[in-house]
Amino acid sequence: MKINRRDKLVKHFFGIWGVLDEYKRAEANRIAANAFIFLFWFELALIFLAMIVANVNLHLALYGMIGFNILGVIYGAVLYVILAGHRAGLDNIEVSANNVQAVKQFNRRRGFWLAIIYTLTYLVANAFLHWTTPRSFINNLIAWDNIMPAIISGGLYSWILTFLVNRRVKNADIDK
Amino acid sequence: MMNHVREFRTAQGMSQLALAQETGVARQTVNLIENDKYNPTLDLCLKLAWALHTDLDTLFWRDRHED
Repeated sequence: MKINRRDKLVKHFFGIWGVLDEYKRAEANRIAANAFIFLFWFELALIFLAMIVANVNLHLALYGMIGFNILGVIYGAVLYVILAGHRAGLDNIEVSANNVQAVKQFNRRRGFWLAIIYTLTYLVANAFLHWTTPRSFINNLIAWDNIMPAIISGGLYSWILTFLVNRRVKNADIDK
Repeated sequence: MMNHVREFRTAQGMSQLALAQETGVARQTVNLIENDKYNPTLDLCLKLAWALHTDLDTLFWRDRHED
């Protein structure tokens, strides 16, 4: 069955695996509507508050607006979408019984490569960000105090992601 | 919505996955319908009835006193 670009986007946004059927579509619509209502009132209150604060301190109003926007979107809307989607079972990865272990193994392998990519990106980005320090870019790249946090964060990021994805893998052959 | 999908499916020796594939939905959706946790649309009700070789009345109808 051919799916259009909008459906692809919906599936990607809600982490939907497999067919986007009427139940998943209805749940995605409900969750998105709730998130939109929250964001609408949140933004309205924030703008009103920023208008009041701007009379006293313009910088505080600006930084407050940016900061609370990020907080509201990430910890409010995005977190709600992830949790509500998980509760509705939208992110389940259902595979047949004899494929469960193979899929988990595949995810672990993918997690390993993800860890390497993350570590290297972190290392290069960190070396760039320390551009202004007396150490050169190359010296920053091979500095132990840059390599160590890159390896730790890469490993941790990959482990958490692999753990979360593997938890979503369910056996489709068991009738509940 | 109370229904007889599970009875008809098991009587025909069908798994939830097989029924889901035949009706074009996820296995999870069939599971939710069987456990009265999701009300399917009329279109899906018809597909379920066709797949289980029965009709809507038999699969979904209930009398008032059954509430």
